[in-house]
Amino acid sequence: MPAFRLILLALASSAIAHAELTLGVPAIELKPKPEDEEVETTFKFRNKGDKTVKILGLESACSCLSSELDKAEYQPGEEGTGRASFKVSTFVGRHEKFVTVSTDDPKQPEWQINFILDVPAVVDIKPKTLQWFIGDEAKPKACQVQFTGAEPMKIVKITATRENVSFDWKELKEGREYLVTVTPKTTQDITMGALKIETNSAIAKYRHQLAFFSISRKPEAQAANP
Amino acid sequence: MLIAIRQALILLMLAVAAAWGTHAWHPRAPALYLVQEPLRDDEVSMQAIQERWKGDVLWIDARIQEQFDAGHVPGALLLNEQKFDEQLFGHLDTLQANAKPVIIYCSAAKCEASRHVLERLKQTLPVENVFVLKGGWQAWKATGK
Repeated sequence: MPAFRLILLALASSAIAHAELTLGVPAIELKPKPEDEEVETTFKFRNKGDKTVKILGLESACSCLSSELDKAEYQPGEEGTGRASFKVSTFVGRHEKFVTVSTDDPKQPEWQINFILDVPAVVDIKPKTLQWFIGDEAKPKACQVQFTGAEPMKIVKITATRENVSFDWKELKEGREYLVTVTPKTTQDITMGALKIETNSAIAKYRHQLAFFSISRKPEAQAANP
Repeated sequence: MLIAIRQALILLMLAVAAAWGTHAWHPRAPALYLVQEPLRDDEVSMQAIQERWKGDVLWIDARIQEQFDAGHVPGALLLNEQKFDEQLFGHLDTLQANAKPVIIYCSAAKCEASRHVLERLKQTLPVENVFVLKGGWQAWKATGK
């Protein structure tokens, strides 16, 4: 009977034992500078469970975010270190991304590491797209271009990809705010185009900005209730 | 001998009871059989693409350049979150002339990039019939094309 009790005890303890990978914070914050192309960070986590856990794989929800852990196995109570790298490119604003870690523990088969990416805006174009519907009056519409970075900027040139529109721009606040006005010649044809806005930014990736315009069919719901 | 068998049976019953109890009360108990996750409103499966449009769709690859270069659906346009404006600028002619459904894919089932690209595309241009491929690039590859 002692063997029986021992097996019973082993069964009971194996049913209760589990791994528990946890971060000390709800999410890891990454704050790149406007000129950064890529930002890296390291983070600490711990296996708070009472069972060794094996890492089976990592999968990122965004191809812009890659992550790796320093080991393939973590003992109970052991602290681990992870490294994450985020390709900033033209991301702007606050983005929530996550990496899913697969483990061999049936009680924690997946562990999600959350990241918050906060990329400061340097150029803000509102609205990003100027839209007309087929048959609309061909009246001008405007977008506001704001330079919100540390250094002021100027628009030096604008070109349109379609000949069906004319445009002009004026400076509202020196080096900070412009109004770009676009007027279609007709609204007879479906059109998707862009304005290439060139600036004198010291940071190469902000020298070329895009705003879009379109002429499209009125959606059915709106066409029925104009 | 009989005692040993009896003990083994008791152990087996206890193990079954423990397993049943764990499954019944565990907050994240796995399904006992595989079920197909239902499609979300903006999702389509490879099967649906074949059935509804005979595969005649415009593909958009929402992964990063390196993954696109390593392999993509033939004819797919590269349009990802990282270089969205710049890449979209290059696809304006294609999108303006397009009358086919647009299917956006990223790496696999867990990636969200295709959905983010779909949202940005719809915010930026009046593109209709845009869907996310369920399972992403892995689902396309699984069809053996």
